[in-house]
Amino acid sequence: MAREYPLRELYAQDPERADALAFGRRGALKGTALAAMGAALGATIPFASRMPQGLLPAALAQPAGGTPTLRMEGKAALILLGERPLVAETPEAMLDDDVTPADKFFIRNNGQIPERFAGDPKTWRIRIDGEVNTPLDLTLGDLESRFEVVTLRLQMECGGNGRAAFTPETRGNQWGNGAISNGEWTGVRLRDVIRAAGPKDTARFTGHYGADPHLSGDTSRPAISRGMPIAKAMEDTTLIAFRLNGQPIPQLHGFPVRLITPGWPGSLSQKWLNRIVLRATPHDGPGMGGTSYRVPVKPIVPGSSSNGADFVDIASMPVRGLLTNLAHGSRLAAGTRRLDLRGQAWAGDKTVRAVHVSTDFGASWTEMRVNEPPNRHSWQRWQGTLELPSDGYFELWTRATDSDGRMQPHAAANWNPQGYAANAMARTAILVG
Amino acid sequence: MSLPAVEKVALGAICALGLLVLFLDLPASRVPHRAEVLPPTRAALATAEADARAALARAEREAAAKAEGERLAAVQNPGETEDILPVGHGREEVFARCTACHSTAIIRRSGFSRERWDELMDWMTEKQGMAPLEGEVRTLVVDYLAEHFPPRRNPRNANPFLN
Repeated sequence: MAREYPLRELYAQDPERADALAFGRRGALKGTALAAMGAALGATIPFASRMPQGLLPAALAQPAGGTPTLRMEGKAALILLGERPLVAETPEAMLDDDVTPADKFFIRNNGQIPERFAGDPKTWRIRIDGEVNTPLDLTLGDLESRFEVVTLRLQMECGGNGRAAFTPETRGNQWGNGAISNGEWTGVRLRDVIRAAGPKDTARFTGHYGADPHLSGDTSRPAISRGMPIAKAMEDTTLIAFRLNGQPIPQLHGFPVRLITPGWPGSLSQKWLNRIVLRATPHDGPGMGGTSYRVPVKPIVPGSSSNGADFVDIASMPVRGLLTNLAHGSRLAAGTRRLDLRGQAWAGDKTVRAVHVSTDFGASWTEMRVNEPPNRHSWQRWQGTLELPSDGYFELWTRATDSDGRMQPHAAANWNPQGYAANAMARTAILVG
Repeated sequence: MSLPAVEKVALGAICALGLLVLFLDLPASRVPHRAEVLPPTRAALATAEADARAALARAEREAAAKAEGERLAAVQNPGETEDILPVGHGREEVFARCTACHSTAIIRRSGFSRERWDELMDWMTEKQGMAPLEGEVRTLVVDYLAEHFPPRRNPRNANPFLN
């Protein structure tokens, strides 16, 4: 019954495109006829019976709860996972750039997007307090003038990236592998700012606050407020950032100032940052404790219930690789035998030692070449060539191995109620001929 | 009654001074303000220009922020109505309660057993500030969700080449 919804949504958003995609025709229906078609695709007409014979476009091959496309000025056609809160995933084939352009950044909000700060951006204020000798109240102007400004390519990945691979499905946005970015961030080191505030011996954890309002509109609750051990905060790649790819950070992505905590769950990269508190105990804001951004130490039965009391906070994200020059669902010309492949791979705090690709479901593997990262916590480019034995249906499985020798598993491991840290290898289906 | 001569002189002098003061204070006799006659100094001009530029920049930023806010609001408000959810007993309550905070996308893309849906109601209350859901309304909401959004094969794993 729910199968009609994706197409109905598509008709509602862009009827001409929906008609072209679903029935391979363009301009056959106009105006009210198109609207009538959209309405007809309601709950009573089976979607499948309306479809043409033969192959389906990949965009419509998704049954119940399929994913419409984000249509928004300044953003690429991302996979729209939800409007409120606004959440959108970058298709894997859109992650081919070494430096992710702002329009291709995935979108993850926990609350409402705040109104853009209309004052002079240099007057935006950030407070550093808690377990420090000298609490600081700094403007963005102060940050830029008082501390060394650095520019680095840094991964930022949602803690739930890869969640859709869990069986049974878990709570949360059903991300494929595209909740990852590798922007060129400019900012100051959080370490330098914490040192300027004179951390006490008791300063062992951070807590972060931003300006985004809670979804309910309740102004007494932060939308999300997470924190990390001081060691991660003091890494030289953890930044208070104010430029992305040389430009002011887009409003959607945290203008004018955000944290960038590369290699750890993206929720630690607080957007619209306005306060960091140093704490003696782990932070207790929304998004901390229980089953939030936490995984079992002792694996639990998939689908079972847990309050997460004996789980641990996710620190470094696990190793993952993506094929980025061939889209899932690509159809190649008959006779195609040689495939030039390339993609990106990363491993949280570690680096990627190897990437292998298989065309036979893992029975055999071909090693790709992997570049060194341009700086710590950047993803790494990989590339190589494969030979196909024939025409037909293939799945290209991409498997990365981290610097400790740990590989991506075939299936998402360590099931947890909110579906974090899944890193099953990526599967790209292609059809030759 | 007559005053001694010296007092007369003194009084006369005081009156004369008073008149002089009045005379000097007449607007027409005031020393003209230099600014009204002379052109503004370079520094004053620069300050005025900077103020004007800052005001303009501020107005532009405010207009841009407002326009951006409207665009973002439009994206975040899909204008959903209840019929985006499958017909069924409890749909009205589910739509009203859930969309108080979030759009229906996350519901429509979820699939859980009744037990997991039931737990999720507590999680929403404890972690997300939803008004507690108890009694008959809770049963109605959870029954609807469990019936219409049961566990299923994940759509993102669907084969792109098959129906």
